[in-house]
Amino acid sequence: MKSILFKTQKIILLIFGFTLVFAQNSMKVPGDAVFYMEVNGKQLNNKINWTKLNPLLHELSKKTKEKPSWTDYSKTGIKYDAVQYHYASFNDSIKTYNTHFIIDNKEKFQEFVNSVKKKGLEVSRKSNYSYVDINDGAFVAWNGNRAVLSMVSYTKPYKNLWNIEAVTDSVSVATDSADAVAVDTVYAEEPIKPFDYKEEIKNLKDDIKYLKENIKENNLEIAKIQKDIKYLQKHHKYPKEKEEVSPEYEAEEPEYTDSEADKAYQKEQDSIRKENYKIVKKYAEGHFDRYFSSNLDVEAPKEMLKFRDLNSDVFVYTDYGRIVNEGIYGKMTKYYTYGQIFRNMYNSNYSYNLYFDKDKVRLINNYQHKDAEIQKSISSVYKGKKNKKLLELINEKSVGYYAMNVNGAKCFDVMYSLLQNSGEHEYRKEMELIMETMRIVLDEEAIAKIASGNGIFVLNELKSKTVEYTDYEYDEDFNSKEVKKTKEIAVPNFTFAFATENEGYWNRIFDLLATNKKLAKRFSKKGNFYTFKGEKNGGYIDQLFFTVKDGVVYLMSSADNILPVNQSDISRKWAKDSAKYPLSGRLDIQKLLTGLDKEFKSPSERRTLDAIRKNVGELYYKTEAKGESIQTEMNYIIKDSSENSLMYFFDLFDQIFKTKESEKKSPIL
Amino acid sequence: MKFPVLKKYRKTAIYTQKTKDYKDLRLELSNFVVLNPVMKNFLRLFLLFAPLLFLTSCFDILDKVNLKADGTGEYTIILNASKSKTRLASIAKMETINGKKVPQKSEIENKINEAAKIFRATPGISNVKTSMDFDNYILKLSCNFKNIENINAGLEKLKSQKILGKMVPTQIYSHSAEKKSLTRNKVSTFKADYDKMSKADKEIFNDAKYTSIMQFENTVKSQTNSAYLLSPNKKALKLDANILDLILQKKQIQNTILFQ
Repeated sequence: MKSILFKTQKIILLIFGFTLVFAQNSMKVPGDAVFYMEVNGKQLNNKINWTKLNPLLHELSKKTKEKPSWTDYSKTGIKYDAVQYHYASFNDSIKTYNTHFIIDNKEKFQEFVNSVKKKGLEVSRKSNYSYVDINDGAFVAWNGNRAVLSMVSYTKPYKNLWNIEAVTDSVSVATDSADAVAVDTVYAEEPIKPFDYKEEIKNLKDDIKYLKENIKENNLEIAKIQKDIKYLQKHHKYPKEKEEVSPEYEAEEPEYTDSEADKAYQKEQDSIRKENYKIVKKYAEGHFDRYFSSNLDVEAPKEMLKFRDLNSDVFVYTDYGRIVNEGIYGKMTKYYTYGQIFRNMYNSNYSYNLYFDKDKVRLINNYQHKDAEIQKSISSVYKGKKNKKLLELINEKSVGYYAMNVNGAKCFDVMYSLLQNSGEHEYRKEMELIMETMRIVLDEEAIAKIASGNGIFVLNELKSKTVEYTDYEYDEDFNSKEVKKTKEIAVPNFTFAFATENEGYWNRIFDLLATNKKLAKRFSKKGNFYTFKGEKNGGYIDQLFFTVKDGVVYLMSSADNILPVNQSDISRKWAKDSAKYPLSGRLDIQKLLTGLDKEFKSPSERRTLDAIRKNVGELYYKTEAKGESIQTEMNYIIKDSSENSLMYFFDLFDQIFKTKESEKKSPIL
Repeated sequence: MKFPVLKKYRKTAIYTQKTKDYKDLRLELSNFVVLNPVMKNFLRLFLLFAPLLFLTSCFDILDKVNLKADGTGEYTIILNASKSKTRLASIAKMETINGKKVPQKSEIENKINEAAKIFRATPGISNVKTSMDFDNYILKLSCNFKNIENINAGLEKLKSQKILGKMVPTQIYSHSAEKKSLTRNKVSTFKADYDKMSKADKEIFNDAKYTSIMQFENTVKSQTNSAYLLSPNKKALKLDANILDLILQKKQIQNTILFQ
């Protein structure tokens, strides 16, 4: 009995052990990916009306020079109602973009791939998948029901460009270790030699020789010009033979063409291209091998999915910090003494959830700084108080507004937290001293009183203004005559206002401007208003009005904008909504385009404008500190004419496209 | 032995390779949408919106020639951007537009004065006058010539001194007293240069107009280009064209005029 139990236990353990050993893992999105996107195909596919979209896509592909390769884009073998995964990453030498998707008709998909792949390229078959190079550096691999599109670009890191250290090529790290040996030997022809001072002297001498050549050329040119000056002083004109200048310059060009150096350069380029292709192919194969030997699920690190909403149509994560700091700017800031400040500033990530709702397109963005302390101080800025006076300026009759209710005083904390730890090693003490000095010099409270963080910009309307211009008219003998004509242009009528707790400060500034000898010509005081007059014909704004009233500084294009206006119920609702958020705004694009009406003159412009104006919607925007992030929601509210907001865009584009096409077809008179 | 040329080439090779790699990436990113036709066409559709985003400026060029029977005459060129003066006044306050530096008033004045200086030094050209009205954005240059080919020489000089762009034609006129003819030469196409321009730069030409006036002491017997309007007294010709039509050669500028 004991032995039976022991045997059973042994078998169970073995089976369990095997399961553990052979269980396939999911495909992990690399933790250093700078971009990750999930496309919720199921939701999007339900929103796309293929019968409407196909003809449009077909029309568009007709316009490309190549023959249309596909007729029905809804049948490519790709399962459109499944989730698609995209991610991109880069290091010092390799940039990749990968897309993972499901296929529901392998034959159809293969047909589709054949129609888009480069001619003459054959499909390579591996044990568990097939793949083909559809274009330089773009590979697609598939098995029965999954496919991967992988785009790889390789740049050999060059020494001395930014980096003075020995160049290490991350390809060896990024590719499979077995492949890496083959990959890295490709560039083995340039071993790093020890410093040879004799060779360096030789190189420097060559440089001098090269520079001397330039000096010679410049001296010759100077002598030529001096000769010309003397000739002009004496004869007041150029010598005859000097008039034809250009052939001389043209004759210099052939020096470089068809030379040995040119051929050698071409050869070098060809070999670089060939070797680069080998590397990217190896890399893509490595990626495909890993994917098709996994359980075919794609799994992103938790950190990337922190703000993902499973109900969104598209989710995007970007590692902004890495894109900037590891990209070219990062290399720049690394060599600045205080470059770490910028590195601290950018060290953040953005997540986006996009929704194509029935009545609006909604984009929710979450910004998060990677440093929790810095994030905390940024969030504290977004916790301001409301200002009733400013909110009264919100009016539904206006074209749009942008309101701000932030905590100005907290901006200093953000600045200090960015400076904190930004001095590396030897500059640490200096940075701390700078911060301390700033704290002493800056009276944060007093500064915050000047502008506390509440402000609003209201675009009340776009007014028509008559401007005069000069044109030429001709009599019957075509003698020209200058005539004055007029035309209408659109000018903005706006109000910019911000709250202050120190009215006296602003009044003193305006007084100074009005009494200053140089500025008084333009800046003057009339009653309660200070006015600034622009130059004659100085652009869209003729006059600006400034005033300080009830703790608010106003800057307006018209003095009437300060007069109290009765807010309608909608306006009050908007004002109430605006009071809740640190940043919020609205823009009625239809009103904006109506105001700009006079700017569109040609029949073609007018037709396009009409097509847009008929369907264009309204933008709404709000930002707040939410959880450990700054969340911004942007809504584009559509007109009811389309089945949903996704098809709305296609309908709108279709209409504009048709307008454009009909213009092309109409005969030229 | 290292040759400087080779050294230059080596540097170029590195640069070209780097540029190529960025181009490759761009190409590959565009390839990414190969399997995503919806996205590809969505982007293309979006481009249709672009013209609305640029509110174009417009300008007119007026080119006047007054030719006497003995071949002497007067030449005037006027750049009139008065219709866009409000927009230009705003642009003038900016540092850059479309990624290009906005020239200062003084820089424009210097260029015009430099052009006038070169014209003055051109044999056969006299009485060079310039006028610059920065309130209305109208620039004028006029001069007298002994024979009309002097203008070609003047323009050629401006081009070699890089005051005029390489796109501007210089060999414009030829006059023959014996044959009693004036030829307005064919202008080579700028289409290739125009195509290379950015979308925003191209927009500048959308509403730009060109007017050519030619007035003569002699009576016109015939002309080869009917796009030029002949005045009732048969002593003047006028051509109105959109600059874009001339660039794309939808309208021709060449004309051979025979006098009685």
